[in-house]
Amino acid sequence: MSSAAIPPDTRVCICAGAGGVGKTTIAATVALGMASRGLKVAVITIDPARRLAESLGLEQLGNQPVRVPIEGLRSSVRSPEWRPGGELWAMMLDVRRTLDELVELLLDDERARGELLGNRVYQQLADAVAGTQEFTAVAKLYELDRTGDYDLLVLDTPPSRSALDFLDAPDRLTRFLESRALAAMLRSAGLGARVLGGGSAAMLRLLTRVTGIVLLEDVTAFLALLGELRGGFRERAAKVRQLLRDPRTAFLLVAVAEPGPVEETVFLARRLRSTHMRLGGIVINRVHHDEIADLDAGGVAEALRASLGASLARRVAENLREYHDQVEQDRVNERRLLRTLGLSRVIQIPQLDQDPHSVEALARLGRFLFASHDEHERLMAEVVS
Amino acid sequence: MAGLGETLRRKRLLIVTGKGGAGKSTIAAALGLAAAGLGLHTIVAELSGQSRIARSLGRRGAGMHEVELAPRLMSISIDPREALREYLRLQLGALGTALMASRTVGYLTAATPGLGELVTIGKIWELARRERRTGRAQGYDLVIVDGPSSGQCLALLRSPATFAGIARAGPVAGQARAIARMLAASEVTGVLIAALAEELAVSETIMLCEQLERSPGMAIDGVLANRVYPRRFDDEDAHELARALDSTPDLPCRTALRAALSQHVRREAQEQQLARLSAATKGHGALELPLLPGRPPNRAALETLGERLVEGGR
Repeated sequence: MSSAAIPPDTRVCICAGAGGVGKTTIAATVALGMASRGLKVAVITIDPARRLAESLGLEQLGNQPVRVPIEGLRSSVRSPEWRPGGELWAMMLDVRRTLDELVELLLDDERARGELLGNRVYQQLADAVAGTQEFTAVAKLYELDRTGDYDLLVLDTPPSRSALDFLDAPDRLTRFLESRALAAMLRSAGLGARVLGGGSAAMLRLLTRVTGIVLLEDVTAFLALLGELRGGFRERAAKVRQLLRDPRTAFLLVAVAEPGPVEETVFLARRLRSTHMRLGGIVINRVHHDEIADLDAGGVAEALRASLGASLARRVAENLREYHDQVEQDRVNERRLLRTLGLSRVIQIPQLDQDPHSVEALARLGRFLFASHDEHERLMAEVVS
Repeated sequence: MAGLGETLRRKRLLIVTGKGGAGKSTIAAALGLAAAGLGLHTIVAELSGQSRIARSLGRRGAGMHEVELAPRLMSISIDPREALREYLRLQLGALGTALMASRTVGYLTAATPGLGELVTIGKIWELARRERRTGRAQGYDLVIVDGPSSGQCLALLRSPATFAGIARAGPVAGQARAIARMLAASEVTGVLIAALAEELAVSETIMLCEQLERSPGMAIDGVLANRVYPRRFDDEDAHELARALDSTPDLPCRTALRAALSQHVRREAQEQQLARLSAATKGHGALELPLLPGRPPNRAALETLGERLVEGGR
């Protein structure tokens, strides 16, 4: 039940990486691959473009997992690996609803709950605050993990420029809720908004006066209500943190062989190490590959001239030269990634003629992801020979 | 689609948005070089805090300090926290600096929804004003923003209007309204969408176009299809290539044939997506931009891309 991408016994797999590298596709591929190996898997996406729904052939995805039919796949997956009984479930995170659900779960007092859900600051929280998406994503992950309904959960992370937000989300929220500043504000809010005492309250009053942001009162009210959630949130954040550091939680970093995404991956991998989270594997998506050591484009043009004619042979050779340059560039970037992190292997997924838009196409992609080292080499060679 | 030369001359604020990975920074940098080349005093504003554009042109970025990249071309990297600090300093002097040092204020501003977006767009507004309060006194002819990706960009563009609605009185409300007015003035502000000729990127672009059209005054000044392959082979060629592949055992030749066939398939697929983009932009079509050598592209490549952006053409 293992692969280069996912260590055995993984229960939670988190796909992270720079924007635009194909995280959603890789998350779906992992989920599908493990489901066709007999596990009950749920994949959670945060994807506003409904990419995952499209490639899974579903109209749309909601905040609860729906089942994706995969029985027809048997023939696309290599027969020795196919295990019956697997299930694939998919959902798309609805940030607002997840947050509401969390409030309902954690806030016992009905009046406070109503006030919080009606607070203007709260209502904007879902779309406005960086980190809310990240926090609700891990909260949902925790929720699903706790049900014990699934053998494996695969999370596709938000396309944030800094995936750091995601790792920090629970800690940041707890730190804030635990802070003295908040405690001071809660006290002053409790005394009534006008009778603020202490240095920070004076600051707050000044800020309100000079900016004219009446909203600050709503913020204070919001924070006071959030204070009631404190115990629940603290406990929750601690558990989420624990889940992220669980030995059976593995991060799968996704990149393409370009300087920016490689840099982001190095940064993420180091951060995982320093925070004791587990790096499962690194996927380099859309790799250009060939098996040519020294390119002789002129020789290729010459060799093909008889069958293709001079013009077409020349264009083919020109195209090959460009392609080969790309291959070499990709190699340089990949080597830099390996060297910087001191790793021996990343999982390459070749550049395909078409983006995978169906369950079958995802299964074909999965062959690269789940292959052994030797088999992977053979598959890569097959692409260009 | 026609080139963007006229747009560059006419507008004062151009926001480049689009799908993540579609090349927004590259396009913003190329536009900046092109605008400066047209004689416009231009600044390219990055919002990621990474100063990538400055670095791609061989300069070290200096955050909120305006740095010269080329004659008439400056750059800035806007960080919301820094922008708030600057705003408070301008409003309050030393008191503003003291406010920012307060932890309570730090938490409060971090918790206030949309404040980060508001001060960011506020700084952009300040850059685009004729009479500046900071930096270059005469102001710029053109501000080009390397914007956030589609969804976040909408939140950014809408934040002043949202804020003006909830902070009813006071200087912030007044400024938010002024910013909202500028963003809604299509003769001043324009939006460029960077797309790729790929199915999902095109779907996202179409969705963004629809959302922008529903926002009053928001003008889409162009859709840019980035990294379009050259048209190198036609169907007849592809037929020949497939036939040759059946009878060629030599590995380099087979690789060459496969790479050529693959290029053809990919170019054809792009063609279909360009047609979808064209339909979505009501026939204006997308400005096609070639795949640039080197990642990130060097200055010469950016200049070539800039020329292409100004001159247009299919």
